[in-house]
Amino acid sequence: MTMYGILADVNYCTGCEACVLACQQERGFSEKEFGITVQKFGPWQIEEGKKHYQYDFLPYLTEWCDLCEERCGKGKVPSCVQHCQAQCLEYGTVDELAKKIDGPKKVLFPIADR
Amino acid sequence: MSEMTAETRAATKVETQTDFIWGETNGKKYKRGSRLPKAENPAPAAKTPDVPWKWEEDGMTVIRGTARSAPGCHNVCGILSYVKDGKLVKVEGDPEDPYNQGRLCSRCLCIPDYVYSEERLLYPMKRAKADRGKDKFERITWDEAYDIIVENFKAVADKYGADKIACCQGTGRDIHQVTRVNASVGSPNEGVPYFAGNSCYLPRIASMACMLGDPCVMDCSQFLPERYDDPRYVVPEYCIIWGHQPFYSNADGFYGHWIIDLMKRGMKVAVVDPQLTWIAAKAGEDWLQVRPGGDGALAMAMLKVICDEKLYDEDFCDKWVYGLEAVCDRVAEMDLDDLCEKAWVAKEDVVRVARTYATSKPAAIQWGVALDQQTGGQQAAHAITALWCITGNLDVPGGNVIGQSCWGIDQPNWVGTWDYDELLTPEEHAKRIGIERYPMFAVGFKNLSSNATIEKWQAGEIPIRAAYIVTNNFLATMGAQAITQLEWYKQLDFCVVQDLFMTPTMMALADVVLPAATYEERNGFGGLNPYRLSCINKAIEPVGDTKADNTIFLELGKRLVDAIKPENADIAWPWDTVEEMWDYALEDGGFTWEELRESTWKYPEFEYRKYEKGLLRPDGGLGFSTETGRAEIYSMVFHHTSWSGLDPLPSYVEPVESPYSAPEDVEEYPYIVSSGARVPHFFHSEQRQIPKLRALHPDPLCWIHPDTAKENGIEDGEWFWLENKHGKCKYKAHYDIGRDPRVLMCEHGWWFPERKDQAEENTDDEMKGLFGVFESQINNLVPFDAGVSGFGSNYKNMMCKIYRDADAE
Repeated sequence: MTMYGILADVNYCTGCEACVLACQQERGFSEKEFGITVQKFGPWQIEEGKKHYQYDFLPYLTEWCDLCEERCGKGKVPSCVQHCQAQCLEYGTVDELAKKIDGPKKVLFPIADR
Repeated sequence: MSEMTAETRAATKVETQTDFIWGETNGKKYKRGSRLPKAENPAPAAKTPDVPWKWEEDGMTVIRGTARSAPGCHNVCGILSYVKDGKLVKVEGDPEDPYNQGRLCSRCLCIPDYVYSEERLLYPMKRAKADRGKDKFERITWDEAYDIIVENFKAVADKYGADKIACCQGTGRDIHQVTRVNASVGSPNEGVPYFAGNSCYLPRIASMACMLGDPCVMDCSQFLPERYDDPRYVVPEYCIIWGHQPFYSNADGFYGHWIIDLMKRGMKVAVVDPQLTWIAAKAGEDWLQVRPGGDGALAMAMLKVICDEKLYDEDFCDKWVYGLEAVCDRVAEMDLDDLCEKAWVAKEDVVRVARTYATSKPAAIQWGVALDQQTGGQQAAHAITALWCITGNLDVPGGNVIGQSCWGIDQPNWVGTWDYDELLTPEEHAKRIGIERYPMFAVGFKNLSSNATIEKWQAGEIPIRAAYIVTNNFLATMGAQAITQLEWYKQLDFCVVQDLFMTPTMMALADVVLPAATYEERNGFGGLNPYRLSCINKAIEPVGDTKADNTIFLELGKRLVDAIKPENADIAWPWDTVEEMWDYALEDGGFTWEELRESTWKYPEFEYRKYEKGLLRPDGGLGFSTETGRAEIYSMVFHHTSWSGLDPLPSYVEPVESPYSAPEDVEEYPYIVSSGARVPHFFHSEQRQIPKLRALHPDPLCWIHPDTAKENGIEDGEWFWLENKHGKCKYKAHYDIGRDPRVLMCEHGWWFPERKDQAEENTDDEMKGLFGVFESQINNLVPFDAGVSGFGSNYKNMMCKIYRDADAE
């Protein structure tokens, strides 16, 4: 068994929430169920008089997420990963993904053993 | 967009020409209108992925196609539709499509919910004129609907003249044949008559067409099927994103996330925006927090820096640009401090961004609708176009490149319309509203002038007697002062509205309702761009009795012509099916619609630096398709029409009703509010009835600085009013520090499908009825005035006051 997960590059998430719908449609969820959600952090000014802001969107994988078990079983990537408009989500083993963390704001979500 | 140039070229001819070239498709004869003679040997298409358009997978049929309308959108994303037992199960982005490369936004992912929504209109309906505004529609057959429309349009043509029949559009839906419906009955009046200043893309497109012969777009490799891997492509070093929220708006055939692709490949960005968007935060010090309506001042300031410091590309200007000296003289007279003060941008920031742009090779500018939605929008567009011309970023890889329609096929281009000159006599052409007043509407634009129309209504005239409103819900969207406009449109003798859902506009005005189909239920081909043609493939049979917009035009067009202008009967609609109509539309590419479907996409081979290769001018000569053959930053078109107030040189025009043009109003109306803050889940007024999308954004928001809100006693999340001399509206406060405290941003397009029950009571109180459409309609505050060009009204910069809902009278 190997742990699989999703690596989110928060440097590029634009907050479009395509992932939210990609998940809901793939899994047959209602509007009240989310395998992935996006939270906004900011804008907050870091330094007075400078255009330096904290302003990020963070995708968060929830307990509804099964890492698209059925879909991945057919050799595809999770629906949120495929449809992410910023292409800031990546699917793989946690070991592989961890090696790709080469800078700030890269967030790894270990999700399921496969 | 060679449609514009073809039109510009043909404009003088149209006055006299009545004998058009004949063509033939599938054995059917037609006249080619203003189109050039049919190409003998069209250039072959560039190589694209060799993939099937249909296959079986997991017990489902998968159909490869294009997500192009309905619902409306300005993109042509590739999709895979999964169908089981005739039912659409899901839609995915197509990983093979060079355009979106497997990605898809929330709206198209949700399309099965849209197709099968319980709220969808399924049958044609009629309603007695006396019952307008009341939910008293009665189901009828298509034949009956067509008969009623033909009878009423004919009555208007007989009584008032065919020019009083107007086909009225919205945006984003593939309904280009509606222009032909209009022309085939002998009326030149088609357009967006309720949209003050035609304030969406046309000001920029028109400006570029007049200056360069063709419009430009930022080059993100979208013309090349291999995209970023094509060795001809160069990633821009620097990009100015101007008045544009690319990730949520995806405007005009521009897939916004291409910007992200380029940032990952090293592109740096500057952002011109009054609000701190996510991308503005990425720009750091190069976020220029412009005053809404101050874009023209900022553009002139940047032009001044580049000219004064001689940062332009001298060699390029010597060879290809007309008017550099005159532009340098113009900006030399201007005061940089004054321009920066009017723009509300610090001088050192303007100077730095201008220098960086001029010295980065290549550099690009990606702009948005904010430029169109201010009095001086056309002039600002002129100044910004001059920026990429004089810095040599014109039609080079990674710059702003010229887009001409694919194989000369105009229908799917940026502002595609079907040519129809052959269907109108010179006398009928001359009846286009506003043609005598606004020369830019005479030299190439097939639309009526909205502002000339609005002025007629204001003067008590009735410029339109019968309207065919397609893909437009103007009471909720583009209609400036929609409450006033509704009173005008109630005077229509007859009104047909064609849409997918019962909208406020339909409820208020429709005598006949025609239910349209989605892109999943029809065949067609995609457009709104000059990059490629892509196939729209029917995945399922139309739900209920719905029909594709295009099918309706073909069927209704034939009947209208027979009844109203039989002399057009043989040439207006010679096709039996829409597929045959597409063969006609595509024939200059040398392929049929079936052949397009086999390959899914057809990209013409793209060429950079077309002016060096004789590819822009109809005579095949070097240079641009302009009078001087150069990129005219001194515009000869505006020179010849300067009697109308048009300026051949770039200039800055202060908006009407701004703190500078109306300082006396600042005390009463101290704030500036912009309409049209973008939300990723909705396209204008669409999708409000789709639960998953609405759940992500339930209420109409006004983005307000917390200091401003607190000064006025408004809590975060509390409802409050915005008001000026034109009207008022109510929004929910959304605290956000990312704006000047004097500036507010409101979302547009709001109505409340869930309030259907109140619709029947609207005759007593329209503010409550019509799905609450006037309640959170920020465009209630928009003045009607447009600039001297007839383009550009203040949707982005209305002076206003604000107060708590609790304090409302």
